[in-house]
Amino acid sequence: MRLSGRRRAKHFEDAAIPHLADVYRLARQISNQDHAPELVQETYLRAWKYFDSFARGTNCRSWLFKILHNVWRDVWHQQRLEIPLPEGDDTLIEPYYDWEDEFIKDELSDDLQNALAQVPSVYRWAILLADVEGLSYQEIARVMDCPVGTVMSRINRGRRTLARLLRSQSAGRTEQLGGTVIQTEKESANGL
Amino acid sequence: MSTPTRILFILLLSLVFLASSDRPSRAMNSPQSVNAKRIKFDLTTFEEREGRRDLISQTTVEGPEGTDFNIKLAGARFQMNARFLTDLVAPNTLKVRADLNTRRLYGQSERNLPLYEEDSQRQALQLGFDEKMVLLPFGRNDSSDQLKIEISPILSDQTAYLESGQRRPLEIKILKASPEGVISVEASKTPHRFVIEAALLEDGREVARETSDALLEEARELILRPNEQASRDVIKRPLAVTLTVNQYMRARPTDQVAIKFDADQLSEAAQRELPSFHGAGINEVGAYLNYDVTQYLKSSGGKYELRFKIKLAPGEDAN
Amino acid sequence: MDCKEFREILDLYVDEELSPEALTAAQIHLVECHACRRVKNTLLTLRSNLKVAVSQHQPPPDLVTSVWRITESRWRKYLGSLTRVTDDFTQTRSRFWSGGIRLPAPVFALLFMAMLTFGILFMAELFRPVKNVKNVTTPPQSERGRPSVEADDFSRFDHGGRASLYKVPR
Repeated sequence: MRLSGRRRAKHFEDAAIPHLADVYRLARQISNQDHAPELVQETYLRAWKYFDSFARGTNCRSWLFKILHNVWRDVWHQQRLEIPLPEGDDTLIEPYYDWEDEFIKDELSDDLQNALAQVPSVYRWAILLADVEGLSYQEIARVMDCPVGTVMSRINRGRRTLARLLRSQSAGRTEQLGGTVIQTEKESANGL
Repeated sequence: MSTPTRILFILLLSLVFLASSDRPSRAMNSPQSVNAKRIKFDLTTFEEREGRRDLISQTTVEGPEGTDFNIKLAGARFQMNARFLTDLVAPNTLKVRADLNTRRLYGQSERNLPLYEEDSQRQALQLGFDEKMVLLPFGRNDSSDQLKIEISPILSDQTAYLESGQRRPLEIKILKASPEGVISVEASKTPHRFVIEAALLEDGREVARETSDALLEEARELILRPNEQASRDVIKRPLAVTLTVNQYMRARPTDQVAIKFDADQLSEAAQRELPSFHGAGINEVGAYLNYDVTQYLKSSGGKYELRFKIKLAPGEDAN
Repeated sequence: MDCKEFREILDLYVDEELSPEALTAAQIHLVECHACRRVKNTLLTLRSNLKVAVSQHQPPPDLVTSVWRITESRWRKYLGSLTRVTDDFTQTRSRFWSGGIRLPAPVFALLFMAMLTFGILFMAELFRPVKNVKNVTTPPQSERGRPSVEADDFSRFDHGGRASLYKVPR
C-alpha cells in the first residue's frame, strides 16, 4: 500500500507536473491573470484524484488540457455572461481569399493578447490548442469534446476573427499616423 | 515500539537525511582525492631591454587542479585581460585554455571621441611541468624592448585537502607588486568536469539518449542513440547535438550551469541535414533543460522534446 | 490544385493535417503561385506571433508550490491510522496529537535535542557563504613603494602588435 502510493505520486510528478507551465499559459489566455491560478489548481487537483484513469504512455499534456477545459466549463464559463455563438453549420470553413496583403507584421505582444481576448471563447480554445500548444485536430476534438469537423471550423473562424481584430487595430493606428504626416507636410509648405 | 515513538523515529531519520545537504558532498570519499595534489603557477613579468631582464612583478597562484586565473594589465592606453582555464588531463600534463582580450586606444574620432582597437583570441595548449608559457601582451616586435609574462606550472608539495577534510583554500601570493598595480592577478576554482545526458522524447516517451563527459567551455558532440521505442523517423534520422557548457555559476540553493547547443538530424548517409537549430539555457546543476523541437524535426507527426541534464563528473567537487 | 482549393485547405496545410497526396499537390501549387505563398506566410506569421505573445507568461511561484503540495498528502497516508486526509487536502485531522505521547521523559528529551541539533546544522549548511578566492598575502613593508622601473603603464612596449602566447621548455 505504501509503495504503490509513493509510486503513484512519483508517476504523477514525472508525468503531469512538467506540463504546469503549459497548463497555466492556456488557463491565462482562456480566463485572465487573476483567475488562472485557481483554474490550474483545480485542474491539478482533479488530475491527481483521477490519475488512475490516465493511461500511462499516452499524452498527459492533452489529458490535462481536457481536464482544464472541463474545469473552465464548470467553474469559469458558467460565471461569465457570454452570448453563445450561432455556429450554424459546424463544419463551414471560410477560405483565405483576402489575405494576400501582408497585414500581419510586427504586432506587439500586447496588441495580440488584446485581440485574442476579444475572440469568442470556443474559437480561442481552438486556436490556442492548435497554434500555441501544437495539438492535432484529433487531440483538440478530444479536449473540447466535439467532432473533428467542428474543430476545423473553429480554428478557421478563430484565426480569421483574430486577424480581423488585428487589422482593425492596425488600421486605427494608421489613420492617426496619416493625420500627422499630412500636418507636417502642410507645415513644410509654409516654410516652418 | 509504540506508534508515536515510531513516528518520532521516522521524523528523526528524515532530519538526518535532510541535514546531509543536497549539494555535492565534499570529496572525502575516495583515498585518491584526499591525496590529490595542488598546482602552483608562478606568474613573473619581465622587461627585456638590450639583453637585460628586469623583474617587474611576481605572483604565485596555488590551488587544486582545475584552478583558473586571470592576468590583467590595466594601463591608460592599453588593457589586457588574459584568462586561463587549467585542467590536469594526465599525471604530468596540463590542458590550458587561454582567452586573450586586449583593448588599445587607437586615436580620436572626428568628434574627439576615443577610438579603441579590440582583439580577442582563444588558444589551447598542452603543458608539461617541464615547460612554461610565455605571454607577450603587446605581441612580438622587432625592437629589443619586450614585456614578457612567464607562466610556469609547478606541482606543489601540499595536498589539496587539509587533515580535517576541508579543501585547502586557494592562495595568491604577491612576491613583487607591479608599479601602481598595473598588473594584477585573480584566481578562482569552479568545477570544470561535467557529465551531459541528452535525451529525445517523442510524445513524452524517451526514444533516444546519449551520455558524455565534457569540460567547461569545450564543445562536445553527442549522437542520440534510438531505443526500441523510437519511431522509424527517429531511427532513420538520428539527432546529433553539439553542446557546450559555457559557464558555471555559484548560486543558492544550488549552483547553475549555462549551456548552448546546435542540433542536426543526420541523414542515412550520416550527413547533416539543414536546417540545423540551436538553443541556449541556464538551470540548476542536475536539473532538466527542456526544448520543444517539434517544428525542426522531419517526421510524420508527434511532439518532440530535447532534454538535457548537466551533472558534475564523479570526483568533481562543487565547493 | 488551384488557388481557390489551396485557400480552402490552408488551415489543414499549416496544421499538417493533409493526406500525403493533398500535401504534395499543395506543395506543387505553392512552388508556382506567389500569391498563395504570401497568404501561407501571413498565416504562419500570425501563428508564430501568437505563440510568442502567449508564451511569455510563467506560472507564479506560489502556484507552483501549491501544485507540488498536491502529492505531499501521500506522506500523511503513510501514518496509517494516525492521520486522516479529507477530500480537501489542506485539512488534516491527527489522532496522533489528540492521543498524547507516552515516552519516558529522558528518551523524549534526548530525541528532541537530537532533532534540534540536526535542524540547526542543516540551516547552517544552507546559509553557508560561498567561498571563492582566498588568502591574498602582500610582500613585506620594506618592498612596497620602491618600484624598480618607472611607474608607467608599459605603453613604451606597445608597437601595435597582437598579444601572443606560446610555450617553451624551462
